[in-house]
Amino acid sequence: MDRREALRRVGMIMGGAVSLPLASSVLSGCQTAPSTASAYTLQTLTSDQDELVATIAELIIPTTDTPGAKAALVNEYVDIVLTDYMTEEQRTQFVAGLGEADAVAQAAHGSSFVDCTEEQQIALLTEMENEAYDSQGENPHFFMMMKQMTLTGYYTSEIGATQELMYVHEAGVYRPDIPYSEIGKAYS
Amino acid sequence: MSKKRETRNRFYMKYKNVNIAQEMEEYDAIVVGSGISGGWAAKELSEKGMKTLVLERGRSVTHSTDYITEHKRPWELANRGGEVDNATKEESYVHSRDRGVFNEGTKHWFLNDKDHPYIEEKPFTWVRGYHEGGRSIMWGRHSYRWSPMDFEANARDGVGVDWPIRYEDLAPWYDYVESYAGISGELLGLSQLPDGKFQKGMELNVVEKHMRNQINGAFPERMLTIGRVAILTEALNGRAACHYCGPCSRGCSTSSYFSSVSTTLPAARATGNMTLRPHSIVHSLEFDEEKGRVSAVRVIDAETMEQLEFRAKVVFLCASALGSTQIMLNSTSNRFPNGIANSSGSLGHYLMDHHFRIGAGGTIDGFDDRYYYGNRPTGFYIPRFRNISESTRRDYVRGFGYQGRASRQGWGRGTGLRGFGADLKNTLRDAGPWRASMTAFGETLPRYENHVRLDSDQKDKWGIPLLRINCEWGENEFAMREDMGNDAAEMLEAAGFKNVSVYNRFQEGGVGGAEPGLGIHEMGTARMGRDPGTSILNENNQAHEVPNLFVTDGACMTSSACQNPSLTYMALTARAANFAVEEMKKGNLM
Repeated sequence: MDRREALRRVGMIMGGAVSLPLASSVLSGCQTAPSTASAYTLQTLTSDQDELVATIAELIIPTTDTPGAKAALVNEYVDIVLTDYMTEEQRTQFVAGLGEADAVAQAAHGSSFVDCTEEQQIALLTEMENEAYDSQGENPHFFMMMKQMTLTGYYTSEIGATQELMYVHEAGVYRPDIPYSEIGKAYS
Repeated sequence: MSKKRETRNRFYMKYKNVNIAQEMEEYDAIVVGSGISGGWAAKELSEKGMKTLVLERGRSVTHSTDYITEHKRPWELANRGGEVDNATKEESYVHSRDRGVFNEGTKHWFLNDKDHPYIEEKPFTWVRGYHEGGRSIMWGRHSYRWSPMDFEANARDGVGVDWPIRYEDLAPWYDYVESYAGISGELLGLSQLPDGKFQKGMELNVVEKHMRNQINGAFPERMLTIGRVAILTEALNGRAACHYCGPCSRGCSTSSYFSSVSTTLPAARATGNMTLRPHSIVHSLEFDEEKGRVSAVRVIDAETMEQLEFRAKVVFLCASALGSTQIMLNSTSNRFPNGIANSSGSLGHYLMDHHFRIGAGGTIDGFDDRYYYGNRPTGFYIPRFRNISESTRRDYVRGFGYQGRASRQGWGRGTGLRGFGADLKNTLRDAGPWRASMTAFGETLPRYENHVRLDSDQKDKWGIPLLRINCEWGENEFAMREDMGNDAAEMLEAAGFKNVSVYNRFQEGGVGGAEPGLGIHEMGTARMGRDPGTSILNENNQAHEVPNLFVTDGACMTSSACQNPSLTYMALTARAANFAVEEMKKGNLM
């Protein structure tokens, strides 16, 4: 990612108002953007795995006219879920899935998943999705775990809930029947 | 009693014995427990001038301040308000089975099961909250009267024993507690679900209204209405109308839903007659053989392990059905070797709950241009329609009602949609199709085999024998469940729903499915009845054999009906408390 791209994305995260400490840390090096921009310390994932999670999450929910999964720090949410909420078995399975994603990328393109082009990454993820739908295993496929965590992590984040969807905190009233156009999008 | 009142509000302790018992000043009344029933007992007794001691086994709760997750946004909670973490699951291994009520936003209201074990001879999920206000903080808030049919059911079917009261006995007390608690709902004029003193009901959304019309058109005896709930739609006694934030069980600073902490305990406190003592675990009741009365309540201070005794003219057990029963079973004497007031041997037996987690769901086309605004804290209710007349007779007895709701699907549907990327994101930005689902709550029969008893040697850390629970659904419940699933699907189909599927969470021998206990409506283990030979309590919730002992929580129930029971506990408690005060005034309980 070049500097201009990094700045543009940060601008999006902050809704245009770039706070200086965050921006300088992002600009200090491309590989530290934007997932390491918070004070969060990884508990289960290694920094390479974290980058891979952030990359796949962003492919699932990309930045469009609103910020995507990376900006919503879905990778940090995934690390928390892996650490405190999953069973040992699920955790092992998920981490193995990350390794497999890289192994498949290496075999196909001679580079790690995150170093593949976006086009290659999408093709690899599509293959993973097809495999997930074809497999009838007892445990959920890595792709399904990743997708579920990405959706939950994103849509319950402040960005996902308030910028992408409509978040109503204390409505004050209940209106049982209104035109959809009044809200125009789904509630978070 | 008026002289005594002058010295109220302070414990006057006089050491009698170093190891056991500091003798306390005598109160007029002791209430054990501060949940739905205990809160009402405290209010009624103290408002009538009784110097009242409320013993709460858990911590005290300060209204508002202690609602630590109230109004937290999803991203302010580590798991976004979802399931609890692994460490909590390990400690609260029983409560973790119920993902519906036990989550990241409510976990502090439930027990650490390691400290509060019990023995499941068959799967029974005992959901408990030990703190001021008890489960009135996390309750479901649905509030339905029982009907004349419900009080007559046992006599009519020849099941269990007859209720010693009829609907007419309780009707004025329903009026009384509804008016004070604040119940919102719709008047329907149904004989199987009597109307009450309601605030205006919350409203059905557009699809629920459609369902109401279609279902009632296809099945004239079936009515869909907004849930009758103890949530205000109009301000009442300084409590504000609901602001529609959603997750009530985290606590409500505006007191918009009824809890002991928001409503009855403040009223009791305002009289100056109530003392609430937290961390007070009741071990047992002391019985005076000569007078034939409860003479003291034996308490263990949960924090200091001190043993204390408290004395009063009357004792109200409101410690929850199984909690009160455990205390009674542990209160043995020469006269009552099997538990106080238990010559009949029925104490601990006839345990009931509501069997549920069976129903149906589906989607419906159309209404894409309609939506709603605000988090309505209730859904719809379909009152019982089976076995209410000759033409609705089935091959089982009693019946069931449904709770459900219709809403537009949100981002959660994304996991079921194939694809990822900008297309998925754009799809999920829009509200999805309308979906409705409903779950049935079925009546269970009182059966002797379903019981609790004390373990002969295992004790908890306060030295109280563990409760052994042995309860399972019977033939009548399983026969009813067929209808509970099919009728739901049939109604959805009649209303034009597609992709209708029946679900049934019951799994033989499993936990976290639909085993007894999960309904959190456990009741019946110290039942009311006309005959002291087959029941524990009389028509005033007074022990047949111990006149100054009253039990007004779920333990008193003679049958279970299919309605959520808390409103009935409120009415029975208020009625019994007023009876007890009258008796004391007459000098009958000295």
